[in-house]
Amino acid sequence: MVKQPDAMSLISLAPGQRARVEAICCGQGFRMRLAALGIIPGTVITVLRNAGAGPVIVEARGGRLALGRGQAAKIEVRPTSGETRGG
Amino acid sequence: MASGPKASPKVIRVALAGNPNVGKSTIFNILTGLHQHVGNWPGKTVERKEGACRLEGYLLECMDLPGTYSLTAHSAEEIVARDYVLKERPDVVVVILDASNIERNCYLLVQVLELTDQVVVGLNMMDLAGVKGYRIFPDKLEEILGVPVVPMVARRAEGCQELLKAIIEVGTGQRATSPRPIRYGAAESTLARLQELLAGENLEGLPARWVALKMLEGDEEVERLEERAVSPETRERIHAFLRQHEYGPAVIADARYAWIEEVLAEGMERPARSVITFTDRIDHVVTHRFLGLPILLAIFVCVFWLTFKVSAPLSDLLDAGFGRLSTWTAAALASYPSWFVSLLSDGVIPGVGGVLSFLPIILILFLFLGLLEDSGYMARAAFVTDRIMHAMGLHGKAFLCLLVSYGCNVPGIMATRILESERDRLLAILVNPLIPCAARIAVAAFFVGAFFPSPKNTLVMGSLYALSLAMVVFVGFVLRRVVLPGEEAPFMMELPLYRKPNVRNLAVYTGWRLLAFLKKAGTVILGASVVIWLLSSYPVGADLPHTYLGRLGFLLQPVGRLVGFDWRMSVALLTGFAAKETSLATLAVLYHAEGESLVQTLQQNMSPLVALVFVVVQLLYIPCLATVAVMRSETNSWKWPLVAMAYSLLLAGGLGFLIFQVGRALGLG
Repeated sequence: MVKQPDAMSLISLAPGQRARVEAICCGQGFRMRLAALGIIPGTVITVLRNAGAGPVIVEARGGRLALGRGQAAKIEVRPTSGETRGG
Repeated sequence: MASGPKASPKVIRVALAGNPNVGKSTIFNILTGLHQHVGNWPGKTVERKEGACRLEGYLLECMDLPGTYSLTAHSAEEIVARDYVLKERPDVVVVILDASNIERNCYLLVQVLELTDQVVVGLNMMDLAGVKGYRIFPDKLEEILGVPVVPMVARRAEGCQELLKAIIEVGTGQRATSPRPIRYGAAESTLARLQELLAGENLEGLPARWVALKMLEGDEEVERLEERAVSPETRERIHAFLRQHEYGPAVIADARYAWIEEVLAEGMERPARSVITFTDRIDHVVTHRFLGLPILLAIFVCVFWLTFKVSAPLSDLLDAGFGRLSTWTAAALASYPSWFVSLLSDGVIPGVGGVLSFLPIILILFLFLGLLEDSGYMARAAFVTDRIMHAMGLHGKAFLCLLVSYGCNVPGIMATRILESERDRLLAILVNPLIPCAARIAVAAFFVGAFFPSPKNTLVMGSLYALSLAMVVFVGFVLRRVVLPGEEAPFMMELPLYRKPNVRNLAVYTGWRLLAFLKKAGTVILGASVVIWLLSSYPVGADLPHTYLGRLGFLLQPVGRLVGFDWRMSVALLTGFAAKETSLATLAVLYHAEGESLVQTLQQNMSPLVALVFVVVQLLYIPCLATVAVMRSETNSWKWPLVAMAYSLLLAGGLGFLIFQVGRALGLG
């Protein structure tokens, strides 16, 4: 039985976890800047660093980005089942 | 048309576009060599770099557009880049892509293709793409994209000739381009209808499809164009139509990435699981939640220590050289009027020479910073310091500007251009003068060396660094809340792959910053040293306390007394406004002492407490003239430099008063 995981904020993902971006809250400008950096709804991202405080590092479309915690919190994601990335 | 050897070459106008960190500047430097003209875009603090190169009877006029991720109207850089392509209509737009991050990079390519067909793609960093396990087929990509694609490794100058060839072919029309059309899915019919509505309107020469696209994206610049140029009836109809068809920018971004995915599905192969790279392994350590900060501190302590260690003997050498030049000038020009000789040997040469003796420190510091930047570490430094910078309402990128200021505040303030938000830039500029530049550190080190024997001196110097950092945080915190309130700007930063630094990039990085410093020495400080010389030499025949400079010192005496200064120290600080290191030279003149004996004279004339107060005050008291000038030009107003001068005077005076009074109460003075 595969249970569809719930949507959650990007900052609640652990390092190594993969997730699909569901929605990006707040601000047209912010959404367009994220799009330019490769993140739009539907993009699969991998969290590389998330220390529970401070900025996070995510990998999206083969590039890595540092995102302020406040910005990362506005990105709603749904974890993709079980996949993790080594390292 | 036959073109003989004497005929003027055919001009091809080339614009270089690309994301930041894709090696665009490297390619621009290779193409144009030193034939560059650097300035600002009119009315904007965005750097404008132009250059030219001659090849096979053609003159390629190259414009290096600002590095951007996109061509929206959200930043001055993006507006500059797209306006240039739209309005100046270059013959060829070269889009440089980072092959190791090709998917994200293509987002800019799509947007350039929305503007023009005359495109050549430079696929740079092919070596790094290989490291990531990417197999890219440039020929296949060329076929799918419909524009020339040139694989390159610009750091090794590979592919540059091929790029030039493609530029000439496209620029002269020998090779026609037919870019793969971009379809916007569900928004396509809306676009078509908008184009119909816009037909017959004066769009100031812009393509209707592009204007329609930007309307869907809610582009502010295009909205202004609409108000300016489109007739009220059409505007009314467009707005009515747009209200019924809510296709937001999301559909457009989605379509662009779908286009990219289609292109790359055929043009490249990626490993099923991403390869663990050298970058992953390094990042694992340097961005570690506990290790990150200590590693950063260790790196910068090493950098500063090495900088001062290596540059000290060089600076001493230069200093001695200018001293000798001064003596020699005085002797060689003995037959000229004495005021002229004095102007040169007592004013200009020591003034400018004093600044130039900082050249080694600044050169070496910028070399190290350039090394960290070019290798890719600086982006990690921004990541690691982000949390700390939040304390003063800034984010990690601002840390990088502050770092440059440890060499010289002038390039440090210019470096704030990397901050996207206007408010962040202002804040970073305003706190910038609190970072002690090499000159102020040198004055501090001289006093600390004279009054605090080893090992106390290291402790005192360390405390001074810490104090200035604490002041940066404190002032940033206050300014953010009182003067510049508002929402925090988002922190989003690309972390490039680590790579071996490139000598050419290092030379350019260091060169531009050095040039900013040298300009300051050549203009502001030259002028200031003449003024100080005038004030200290006139009226003719007066001894120092009775010259204009001396009288000024006595005027300041009531203020100086509050912090324990005598008139000479006040005058030294006054002259330090021209350039911080000048205050040492002034003290030497006012106490009639030179070199080693200045140490003894100072020791006889002030207590260690007063010396410490002097050091603290000179570290913080006011931005130097050159810094004020660059603050004005970067903020486009006198308001902010005046704010900086006012708060720093208050801060330095207040701290000086506090230390002096507390110290005296404790019986130290």
